[in-house]
Formats: sequence, C-alpha cells, structure tokens
Amino acid sequence: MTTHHLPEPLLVAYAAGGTSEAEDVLVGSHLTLCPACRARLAELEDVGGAVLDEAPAVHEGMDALLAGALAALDAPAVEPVDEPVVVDPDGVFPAPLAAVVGPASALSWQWVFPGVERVEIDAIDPHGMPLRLFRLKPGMRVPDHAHEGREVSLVLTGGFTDDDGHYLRGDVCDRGSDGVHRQHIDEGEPCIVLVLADNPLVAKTLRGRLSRLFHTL
Amino acid sequence: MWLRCVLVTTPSDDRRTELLLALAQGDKQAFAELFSDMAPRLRGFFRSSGFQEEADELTQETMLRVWRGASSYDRGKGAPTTWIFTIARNLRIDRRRKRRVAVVDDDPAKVADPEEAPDARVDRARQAEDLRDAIRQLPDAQADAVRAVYFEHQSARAFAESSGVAEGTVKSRLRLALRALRGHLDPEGAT
Repeated sequence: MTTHHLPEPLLVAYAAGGTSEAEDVLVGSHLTLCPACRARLAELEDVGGAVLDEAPAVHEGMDALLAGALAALDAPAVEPVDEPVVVDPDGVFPAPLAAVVGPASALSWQWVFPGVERVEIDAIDPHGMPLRLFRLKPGMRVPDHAHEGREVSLVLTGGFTDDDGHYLRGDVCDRGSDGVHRQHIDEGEPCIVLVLADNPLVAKTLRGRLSRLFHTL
Repeated sequence: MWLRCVLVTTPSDDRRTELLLALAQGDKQAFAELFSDMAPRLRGFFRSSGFQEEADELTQETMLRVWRGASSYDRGKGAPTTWIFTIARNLRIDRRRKRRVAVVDDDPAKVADPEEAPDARVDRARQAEDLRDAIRQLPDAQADAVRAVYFEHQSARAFAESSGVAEGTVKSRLRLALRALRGHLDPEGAT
C-alpha cells in the first residue's frame, strides 16, 4: 500500500496527454503499483471527457467528413502492428519500466560510488528530463545534497527514510529545490529507485560533492 | 436526411451509451448520429491542440477507432465522452512520438484494485453528468486554466506566459478548479 503519491500536476498532465515519454515511464510505473492513483486518474480523465463535451464545436464541412468516415467503415481495417507487451516475469519492474529497460534481473548496473550503482535510461527521450535507475546498498546514508531543480523518485525495491518520512515500494518522493536532502537506506534488500531529475545535484559536503558522480559520471 | 443531422443540444450520456451499443452491432446510422455529435467537438479539440491541418484526419481516425472499439466500451469505467476523450488523447500522443508506455493489465507487478461496491459503477456514470455541470459553473479564469491543460496541454508556465497571468496564479486557479470538480466527483472528499 503506497502512502506517498504522485504530485497532482504530474498526474493531471498525464491524464491530459501532456507528459514526456520519460515522465510516462515514472507515472505509469507508479500507477501500476497504486490503485488509489489509478482511481484518481480515472477521475481526471472524466474531467477530460467533460471538457471535450464543452469543446468549441466546428461544424462546417462535416457532411463531407462524415461521408469519408462512413466510406472507411467498410474498408478493411489496417491495424497498426502493436509492439509486443514486455513485462518483468518476476514482477519487480512495472511494465512501463520493463518496456524500456527489460526485466530487473537482466539489468547491467554501472558502479558509480561505493554502495551506489546506476543505469541511465536515455534511449527513450534523449532531449527530455534524464531518467535513471539507482541501486543503493542496504543501510547506507546518502550524503547531504540539495537539488537545483525538480527530482521525482519512485521506490521499486527496499526503502529509505528522509526528513519527510519513510518510503517503500510504490512510494513517490517529490523534491523541489528547497533545503538539503538526507536519505538513509533501509537495512535488508538493496533499494532500487527510478529517478526523474531536471538538474544535477548541488552537494553540501565534500563527500556529497564526490557523490555528484551520481549524476555526472 | 440523417446524414445531414446536426444536433444542437448536448445529448445525454444515456443516448451516447445507446449509440455505442448500436455501433458495436454494426449500426451505421448510429455511427452517423454519434459522429454528428462528437466530430465537431473533436475537431475543436485537435485544432486547439496544435493540429490545425491534421484536425479533420485525426477526427475521422478517432471516430473510426470508436467504431472498431465500441464493443470494448464499458460504461462502468466511465462516461462515453471520457472514453472518446482517451482515444483522442492517445491518438494525439501517437502522432507526437513513437511509443507510449501505459499500465498493462496482466502485469505480474500490478497491485490489484480493491473490490468495487456494486452501486459504485452506476454512481460513476451519474458523476460524469454532474461533472459537466460543475465545469460550466466554474469561474471563467478557472475554466480557462482547465481547458488550457486538457486541450492545449500547456504547462501552467506556458499558459501563464500566453495569458499574461502569473504562473502561481494559474497554478492556484487550476488547483481551485480541480478541488471544486473533485467535490462533484467525490462528495466526501475521500481522496
């Protein structure tokens, strides 16, 4: 049961179809894990339906358009070839994430810093906000760091605690540029987080500066 | 002649649901009626979304997808316009980029929905009609913010720049609007 949900503007943008592909991966992954946000999404899609109903109707030339559509009803449908649906058979990665990186068990992690490994997901949206996976060692303390921009994280395995609470699988941590961020990774299994960030970190300590490697290597 | 029929009032969701059921049976006259109702709105939707030249073709394609998919429409999951909106929205996304990742129903990672109360499905359909009334009653500035996000999928910042209003003001209008609408969706404000 998730207790930390998606920031509302992000869910509204997703409902309206205005999110980037990288945002879709994070939002779709949280939705897979969170029935409450799926219900909220359905409400926001209802708003879309109601707004469509109030759309300024453009009537001219409709007869020709209808005639064309009616003619097309009888034509054999040329269905687009759907890409095969990829799921993680172990159920670790939600399908929207598995679709872009494959199952969790097949991932090649890159060593960044003691206790920290990373995978860059840049194939989908090279010009958008960077999307990354981190795998953090159980029990480690992530050095103090601030955020120059927005950073939204989704926990996929394990958990961590920061000044605002405890985050477990499915929880979303939304960080703006306010204040210093400390994280303490839970004991037990490694903590895998999916991170969408629009700026590099600003380190507050020497060790923290070293940890900029998180984002710059 | 039924081909020329243009409805001047907004048909009820009950009527649209009947039409979708008829579409699923291959009823072309029902298709023509639903087309006359929805296509002018869809064209406005696509034009507002920056698809000026392609609006007619996208409108036709949306209605063809409605025709082909009508048998999968489930009123318990939303009003007819909600379903048609999601088809138009997804088509718009398809045109902007190659891939769209979404929740997969038979994903082993998926956390299942809680059991739904038997009357919840009926309530959802009724809520959609209440919601339309609520949007009509929103103050203009709030309604504009909602339309900008859904039609033009502008960010609050872009809408603020184009409308000459501070970004914070736009965000608070959108928040107020959604809160007002949520009151109609969820009278107890449980979410």
